[in-house]
Amino acid sequence: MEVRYTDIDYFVFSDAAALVATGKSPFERSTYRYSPLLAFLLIPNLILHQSWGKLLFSSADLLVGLFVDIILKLRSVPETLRLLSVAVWLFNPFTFTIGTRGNCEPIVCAMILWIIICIMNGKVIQAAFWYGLVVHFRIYPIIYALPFVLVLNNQHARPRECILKKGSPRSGVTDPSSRARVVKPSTTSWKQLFCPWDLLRSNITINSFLFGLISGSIFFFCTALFFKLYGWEFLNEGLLYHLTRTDPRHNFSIYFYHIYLHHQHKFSLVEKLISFLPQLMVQLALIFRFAADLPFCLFLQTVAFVAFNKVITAQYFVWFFCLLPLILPWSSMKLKWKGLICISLWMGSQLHWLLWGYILEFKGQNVFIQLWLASLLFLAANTVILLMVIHHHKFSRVFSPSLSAPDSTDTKKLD
Amino acid sequence: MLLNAANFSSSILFWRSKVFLFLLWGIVSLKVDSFVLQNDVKRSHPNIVIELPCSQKYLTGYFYEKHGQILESDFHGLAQEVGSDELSRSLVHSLKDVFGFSELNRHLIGEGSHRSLVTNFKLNIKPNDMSWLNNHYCQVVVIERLPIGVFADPFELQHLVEHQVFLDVAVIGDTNLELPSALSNKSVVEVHMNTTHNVLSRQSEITVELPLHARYPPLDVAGYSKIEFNQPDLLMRCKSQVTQRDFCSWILTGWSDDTHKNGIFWLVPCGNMEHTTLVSSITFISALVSALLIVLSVICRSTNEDMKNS
Repeated sequence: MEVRYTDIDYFVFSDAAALVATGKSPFERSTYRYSPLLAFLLIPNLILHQSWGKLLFSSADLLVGLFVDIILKLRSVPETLRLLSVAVWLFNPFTFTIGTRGNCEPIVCAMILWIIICIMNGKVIQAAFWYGLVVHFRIYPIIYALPFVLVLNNQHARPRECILKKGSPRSGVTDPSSRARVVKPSTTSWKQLFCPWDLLRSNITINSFLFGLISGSIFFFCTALFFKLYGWEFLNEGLLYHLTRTDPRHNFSIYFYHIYLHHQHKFSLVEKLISFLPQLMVQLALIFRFAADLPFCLFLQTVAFVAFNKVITAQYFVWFFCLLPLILPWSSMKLKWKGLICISLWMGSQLHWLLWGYILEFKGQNVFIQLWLASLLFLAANTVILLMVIHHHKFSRVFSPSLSAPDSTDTKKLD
Repeated sequence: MLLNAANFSSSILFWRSKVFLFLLWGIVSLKVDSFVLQNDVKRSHPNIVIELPCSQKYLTGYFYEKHGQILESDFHGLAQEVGSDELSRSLVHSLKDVFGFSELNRHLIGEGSHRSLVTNFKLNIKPNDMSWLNNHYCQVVVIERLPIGVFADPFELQHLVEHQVFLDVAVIGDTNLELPSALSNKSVVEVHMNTTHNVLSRQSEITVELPLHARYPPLDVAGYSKIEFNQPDLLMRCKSQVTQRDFCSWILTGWSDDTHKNGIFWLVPCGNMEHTTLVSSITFISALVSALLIVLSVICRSTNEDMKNS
């Protein structure tokens, strides 16, 4: 059986680029469900070379490695640890094949990391611009809106006055003197959960307001522009499809069999809300607890978002693989043996699912129940790993609040 | 001596009967050959010829554009609709017994949700009419009406055309690759193949291997859904190389459906509606439990750190 290396999506992008080059709508290509921007980006596929897109995605992949390095430098991580973390992204066999196979996820990852860098450097307007663009490109980064806003508030300072908190990397590595500037994690943001008025009051600072305004404007501008060009097709295929997607075909999600068993009748509102509830609970809990340690919060949010989503495909894993190197220096989990256990658990449950998936799809046997149980196991593995990562992480804020901030009295620095 | 004579005469008798049987077999086989040709081309209806401009590449596409539906077996109706003129009427007459299809064999190869439908048949040409065929450029057309439960990937088929496995191919109807059967419609595949009649062979064997994929079937307690395939329609599409007319003739030679009753069916695994309550409840409970565990761990961790640092 001939198994192609290039992802089927790459042909979809190329065909859409060909349509756009002749002035037609990229949505005439069936299963094209991305922003028209991607089709525009891939026009050189026709002019220069068919592999232009792959080169672009692979360059974005390398750029992600560079950004990881920049972020860790900004957080004063010692060199060896930093390089190891960058290697975790660059040499991850799953992620470096993604770009060369023609998948556009590295571009999204590069944009997300650039936004983090901009926020850390205090460039709020630039961060907002890229954020609006990335949400237009791929809907999922909308889950990062609240942590970005909270972080921009917790600093309570104008961009020029940003004070970057020195990270507290894993003990026992290179520099003992830079070790453990333990800061009491801000419980203010946690308490604010129960005082909504305080939350609202403290959240409306100039930075978060600007961020919300600019990113929202960019998003609506892009949506309006492409709606004007391509009409309802763009809205249905490029936007609404992702929000209402219920694919009954088998995938890693625990909901697939439930959706298949119900596909012949519509879902009630109650059912839709029930499946949304666990996702919402977890996202809110993670945001309000960990927002100050931005990369850690984003990582946990992404893992949880993917695990509780209605549809999970393998390319979604790249979304949190790019954030993993950003949290490794602060994890007290060693590779032997807890690290290896986590990796084996995650990969093992995935392989187990793939085995049953193979039997169903390529051997034609009815193993729906076994496959569904395998997906439950995958969720359990993801949950265990999340719990372990949370337990072993040294929480460290990205910004320390300035002295004029009301919650600065909570901050203690032990030298 | 008498015994020897008896032996000799019995052996002559034996050989004579053998020769006689041999001759009989020879005569019968010759007769059977042409008999088979006639039998296979035994018509359920007379020759049907549909004349369309050569710019119309696909018969099913033409029908779909005009009627918005898949072309069923009513070629006769289509022929009447298109109308015929003197030339096509004479063509119909001249095509009597020129060629026919025989020995249709079909089977599915592969396992699971992705299989290939293999159609084997023979194209027979009467030797006296080779001149007619030499004046025309002909293609074999196979029209495969797919049941709702399967679909053909147009992009995959286009890839096969690029690799010259087929001359041309079109998929008309519901080509959605993602929806389950319950939300899908019928589709039809039209495959054009090259003929090898130029090599002056009376009979050429043609094999069409069509890659197909199963859709997610409707729910069934049995656990498997049975998809049955109908017989295909075999036509010839010929263009005259002698005249200047830009018209192509689509010729249906009256294919008898009774020759082979190949009941091909494909078993596709499907969900069991009796599982619904159990699956849904356990799914939601698992999601809720996992979510609660994570939320609790987040709360505990913050409480612990509060206590540690106070």
